[in-house]
Amino acid sequence: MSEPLLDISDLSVEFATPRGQVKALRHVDLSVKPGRIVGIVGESGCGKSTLVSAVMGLLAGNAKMTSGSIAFEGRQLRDLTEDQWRDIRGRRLAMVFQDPMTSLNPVMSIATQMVDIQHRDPGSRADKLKKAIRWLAKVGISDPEHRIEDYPHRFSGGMRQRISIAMALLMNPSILIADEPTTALDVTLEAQIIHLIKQLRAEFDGAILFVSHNLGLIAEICDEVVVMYAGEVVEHADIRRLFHEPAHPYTQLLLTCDPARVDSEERTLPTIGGTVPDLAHLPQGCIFAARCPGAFERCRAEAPPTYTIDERHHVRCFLHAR
Amino acid sequence: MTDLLAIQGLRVRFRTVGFVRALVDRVTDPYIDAVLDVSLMLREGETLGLVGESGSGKTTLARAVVGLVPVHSGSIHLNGRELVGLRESEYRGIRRSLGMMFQDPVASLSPRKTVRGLLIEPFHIHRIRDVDLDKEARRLLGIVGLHDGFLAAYAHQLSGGQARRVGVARTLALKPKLILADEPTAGLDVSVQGEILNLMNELQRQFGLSYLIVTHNLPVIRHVSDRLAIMYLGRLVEQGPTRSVFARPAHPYTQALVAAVPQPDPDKRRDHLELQGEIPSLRRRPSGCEFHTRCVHAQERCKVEAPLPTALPGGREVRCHFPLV
Repeated sequence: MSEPLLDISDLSVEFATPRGQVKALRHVDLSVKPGRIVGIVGESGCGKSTLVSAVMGLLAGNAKMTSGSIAFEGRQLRDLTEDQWRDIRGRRLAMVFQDPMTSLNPVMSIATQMVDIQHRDPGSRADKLKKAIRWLAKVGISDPEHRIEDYPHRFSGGMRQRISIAMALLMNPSILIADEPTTALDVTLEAQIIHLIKQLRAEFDGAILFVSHNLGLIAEICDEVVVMYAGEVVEHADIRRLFHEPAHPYTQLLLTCDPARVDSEERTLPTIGGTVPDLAHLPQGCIFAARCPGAFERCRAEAPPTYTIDERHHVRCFLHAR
Repeated sequence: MTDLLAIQGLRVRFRTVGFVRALVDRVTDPYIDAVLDVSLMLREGETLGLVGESGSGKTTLARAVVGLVPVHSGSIHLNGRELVGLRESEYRGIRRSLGMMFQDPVASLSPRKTVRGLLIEPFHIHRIRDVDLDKEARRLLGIVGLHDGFLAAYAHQLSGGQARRVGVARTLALKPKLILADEPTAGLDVSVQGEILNLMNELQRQFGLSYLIVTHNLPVIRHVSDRLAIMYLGRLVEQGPTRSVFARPAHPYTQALVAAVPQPDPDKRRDHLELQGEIPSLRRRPSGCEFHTRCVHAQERCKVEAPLPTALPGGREVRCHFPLV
């Protein structure tokens, strides 16, 4: 097995708020190997974005890493200075954001933006421009030599997201983080973007972290999946295993709730009763116990560790204790 | 069953350039048609799903029914009464029987009002004085399953699901017959989405409501609607019972839309794309059948001759020269 590109272990992040310390991430372990597409799935407030921000070194000022480490290409990201970060962010670790309308600078042409991100590379502006044009062609922008001089508002939402992807891959990063890259797009454009990411996968030797709440997209594109709930990784498994033999009760319920998986024409849709716990006042025991149909006494008393079902399937639930 | 809402040949147009600019640039037609030649009807107690991509005119159609955008031609009958051409003062009375749920659950609630204030606002707007407002506010909250403690809360203190519930309660304040819901579950998590849809379903049974649901979420609309209408570039390209439209789409566009929805099953991955390109501009409508530029089944005839709506068995209608069923 190859070494992981990204190795997160026991990562905890807290936010200082007027209501007290919000424990947004707790003891997260995740390792990403080259060539893999890892999905991160979970509902609002589960910590997907906090995890991504921690990896990108973009945590807000009131956030603090209280435990754990993030190793990337052999370096501890926690120890980096702001200058060292600038060397990595956008070059080794790239990101495609949710909203293509706001992630591009509206007052700069695409050419300027795509040349600017190559700022730290040697070479002339003409060379950098040529490279940018080549990438625009790869992501399916027609007539890239001329269109590159246009400003973002001249492109449709789908085209802008294609440009964002070109900009992210331009520097040949080893990890691409795609944070809900198609949420702002129509289903037909979404299919096109997913198709594009699949195609580009061949010429990109790094790994992709694909953050989404859409189980359909996760199933379509990922090799393995991490399921998050209220700041914890509750399950981590290979894609087929997760969809066919989900081990954690939350994963099972999440899959049941997806209207696309409800086959009958039933009007009443399944739901998960209860609400997500307040992360400033965590319950004792398992974080999901209050909503879990399979919860028993031990779940309310102590928090479960992560159990290993087999080498590629981990779950944080007492039902799998041996 | 009677038709609660009947729309005939509806056309809504917007001016894109000003009068002077049109003269200077010699623009002969400064208008775009956001909704064009749309005819549909909604029976009492029924749910109609209006589906299409961004820019297909589905929201504009819903807004035209509520009188929020001017209608160029055509007719809209609600309970047998013509709405097109009504004066604003006349529309006010009509709006009592029309509830509108806007897209963003939190943003559609005023940040400066408490939940109680939001719930009783419709009574103030329609100058209804003979009700006990406190009692009404509590009754409405009860209907949507929220406890009285929320009366003093502001919109920013609510979660997305709670805000949507307050939105539903507010819509129900004046006991409407028809509710127009624009993307009622956009931005909600799947588990919460199910709760809201179940609530809407429950209220429909309880109060005999009719829904016109505007959405691009096909998995959801498949479960909650009786009939579907698919829009493309402001026109209806297909309509019919939800079950048969999903089982066997008649229009190639419908088929492409259904195929574009990713299946939550890693064994059903797709390796080809059904629909290439993007929706054309309303300013330059393609000739003939307006879908021919993206249609995989398009033939010569489609480029020159616009298809008319054709009836199919089972109460279906399609606008295509070569329907798939």
